[in-house]
Amino acid sequence: MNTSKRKPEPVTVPTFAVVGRPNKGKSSIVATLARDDAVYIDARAGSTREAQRYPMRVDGETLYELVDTPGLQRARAVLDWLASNCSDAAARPAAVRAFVEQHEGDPRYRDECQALRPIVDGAGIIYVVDGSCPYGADYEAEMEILRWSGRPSLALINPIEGEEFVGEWSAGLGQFFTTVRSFNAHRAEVSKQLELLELFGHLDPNWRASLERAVAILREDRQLQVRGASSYITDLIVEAINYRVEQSVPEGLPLEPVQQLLFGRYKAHLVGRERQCRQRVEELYYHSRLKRSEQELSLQESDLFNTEQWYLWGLGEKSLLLAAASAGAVVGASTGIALDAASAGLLGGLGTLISGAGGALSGMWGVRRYADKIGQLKVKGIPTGGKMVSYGPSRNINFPFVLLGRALLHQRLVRSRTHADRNALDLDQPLLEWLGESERKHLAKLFDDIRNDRNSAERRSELGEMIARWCDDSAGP
Amino acid sequence: MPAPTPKLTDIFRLASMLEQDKATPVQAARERDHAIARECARGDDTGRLLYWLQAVSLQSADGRSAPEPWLNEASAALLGRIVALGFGFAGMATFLLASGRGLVNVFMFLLLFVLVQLLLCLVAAVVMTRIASGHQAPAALPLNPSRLLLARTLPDRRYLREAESVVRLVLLRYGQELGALFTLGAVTAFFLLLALSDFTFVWGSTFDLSDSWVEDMTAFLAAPWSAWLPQATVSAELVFASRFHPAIAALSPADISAMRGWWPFLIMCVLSYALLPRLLLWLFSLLLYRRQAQALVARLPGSERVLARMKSPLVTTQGAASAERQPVADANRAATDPGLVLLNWANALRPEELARYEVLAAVDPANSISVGLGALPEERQRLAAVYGRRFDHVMVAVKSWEPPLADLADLLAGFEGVPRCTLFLLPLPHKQVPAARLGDWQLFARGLAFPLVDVQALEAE
Repeated sequence: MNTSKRKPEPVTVPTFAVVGRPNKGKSSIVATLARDDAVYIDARAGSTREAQRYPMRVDGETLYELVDTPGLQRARAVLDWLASNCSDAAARPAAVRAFVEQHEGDPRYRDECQALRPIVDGAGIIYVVDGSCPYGADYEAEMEILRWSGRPSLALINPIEGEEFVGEWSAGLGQFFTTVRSFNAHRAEVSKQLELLELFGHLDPNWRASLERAVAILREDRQLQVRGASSYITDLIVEAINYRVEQSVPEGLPLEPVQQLLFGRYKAHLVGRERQCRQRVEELYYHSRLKRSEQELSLQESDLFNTEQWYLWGLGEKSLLLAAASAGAVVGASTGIALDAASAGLLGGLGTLISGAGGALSGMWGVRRYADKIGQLKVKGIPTGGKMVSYGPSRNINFPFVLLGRALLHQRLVRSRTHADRNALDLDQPLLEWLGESERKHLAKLFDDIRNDRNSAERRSELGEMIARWCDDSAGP
Repeated sequence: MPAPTPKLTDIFRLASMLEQDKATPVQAARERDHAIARECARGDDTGRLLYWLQAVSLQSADGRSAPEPWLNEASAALLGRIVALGFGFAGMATFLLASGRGLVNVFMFLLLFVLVQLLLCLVAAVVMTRIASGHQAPAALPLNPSRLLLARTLPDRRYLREAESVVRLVLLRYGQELGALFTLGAVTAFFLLLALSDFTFVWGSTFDLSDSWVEDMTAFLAAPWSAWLPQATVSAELVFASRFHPAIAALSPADISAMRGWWPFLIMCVLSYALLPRLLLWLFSLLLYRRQAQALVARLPGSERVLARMKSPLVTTQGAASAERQPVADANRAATDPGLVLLNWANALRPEELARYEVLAAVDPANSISVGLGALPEERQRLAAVYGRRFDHVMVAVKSWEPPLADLADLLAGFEGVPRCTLFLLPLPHKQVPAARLGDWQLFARGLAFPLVDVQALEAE
């Protein structure tokens, strides 16, 4: 036995090697705890061939590290080698190290060496079994190897397809591990995930502080995710409520093609914004490759078209009236001042007042009387007037509710989803059915105020707070 | 360090950048903003956001500074100030010199240079108060000269609903500034013409105003300064002496001298009721703008996300090489074996179950060997005798719910020369063999070196 071939570097960062038989959910557990949906998970056995490290970094500082390892394939052969190369119990950890160092280049023991390397380098052991399958004595060889390593360890029962044999496993594993927990990698809530990480810290007193800090940071990060998600959703709702597209059409051109174009633009914009919001929410929760199953946002509101006359290079009737009244008032008042000055002020300023008012009224009357003619004026063959066709904002009371419901449903599914779950998100579910009547009324009022620009900043922040409450794990639907 | 006051341009650029930021992937934004925060020395939200804006603008293509037009905000403001000063000067000069007889009506003077100014100040004060109390900002007149300056202040013609109140405050601030300069120009012209020309102040009206009414009015107007500046008040004699009547054809030098006694009162009226309110409102608009703009910056949609990213640590838990690991190729688990024998792997089949399955019923119990449990050397010893015999068919009973292991492949490798091998997958009680598990075992079987290998899922009881 050669133990001096390679001196392992001491592990200073708490490291946890997730080991076990193939296809027992090791990668799923790592994916969930590392919040990484890039971890390759396959229903087929032996999908992990290389040990992969998943460090938890905070501003570049590593607080702990998870190592996903290939499944043990030849446990009995390894144990046989260890037994024949170790004479006493005190030398068992050294024997495991010696095995790894002697067989690292051997393709026959490739998986075993990959799994045992982090352990002999000082990692804690997270042993994973499937709670939906019965306990078998054939597992004992691999558990024995792990015991030989002398490293702190705990066992996780991952009930992949049911919890039928969890009790059986608890009894069996209890003989080899001091700590045994059931942890469903596909369903575990965030609180369970964090509890488990805290438990990892208990494996070694030197790891506790680091893991506790990591858990505190992950809790804060969860709050940031909630706030971020609610912020994106609020942005989407407020924009959708107020969104409007418009196009000016010169006098004499048909309106229908422009209306179709505008509807297309309106729809594409909102659908794009909803998609963008979803993508950002998924990214906030570290999901980068989710598939969704849903119906596209439905927008069939032809009554949202509005057509207004405009005159003189885009000025609407109101603007034109205001401009003409102001100009008339200035011209009239100037004349009045001259009159008052000429009469040495004996008119008491009445000249200025009357002329100013007269000028303003004349300007307004002129616009009222000749607006159509102004609109028909042509400069170099181009009409100076025409129609302004607009689409939106939506007046449908249900529209923001539908959008909000879709966004909250999506967020709820994303936030409760582990990174081991690879099924498509089912977004075709009832929306906002959990919303109470008073909340519904309050929301309707908020939407109405935002739409009509009544204290919109305050209303927006109020809406944001409500959405944040619903996005939260503890208080949400 | 006090929080900086964002300019209107900053607010518009920030809003635009925050809008663009929605398209930035979250992880990229986290890393970028965290790096920016490490460089940022500001402790307040406004300072952080303005620093972020500067940093992100530099990183993006938009950050390249476009050549500024000659008529920018500063030059437009300077031009506006000069014009306001000139208009004030010209207005007063025109007014004073308009009468051919050098007579200036005090009422007209007060109307144009005091009352109108005061009314405009009142309107501005009402608007500012409404904005300060959070009400919607009222519309500005299209011909308001401050709009020309405002147009130079905004980076684009976009309507930013959130910035409506600060835009209006900038408009009001310029309005007060131009108004004050107009008054200052008028005061300058007043003094200059007073020194250089001969004109006298009279009062008169088509309304039947008595001397005492005028006296009361002037006393009321002079109340703020009459105690400490009695020279700038109007006496009853002066009021009586300066009453104008068209019948007066010529004024004696003594009358003219007496009538000029109005000017300290008039100038104090202009300073107190036109200039001072303008300056106070200008100051108020500055303070209000500062407060509103700072609050607005932190309230713009998306800014809370930037701040959260800047303030929080950068947390990653994902693997360094997040690239998907590819599914494993066929495992290199070679084996060969001759003969007919049943290998019961890891107690997949209890002895009493042997007869239950028809396909296994023909197997001689003596040829049924338990493997996969216990110490490997003992198992190897037991198998050594079996390997030496000739078999036509190796049957292996395995637990369908367990993955195939290389350990089993190693064992089967000892049956070299056996023409056929069948893997029988035992189901869990009352369950079918899952398709995924069947696939695992089929993949495993393909790696075995028997000439003929098949996998059969046994039916549940």
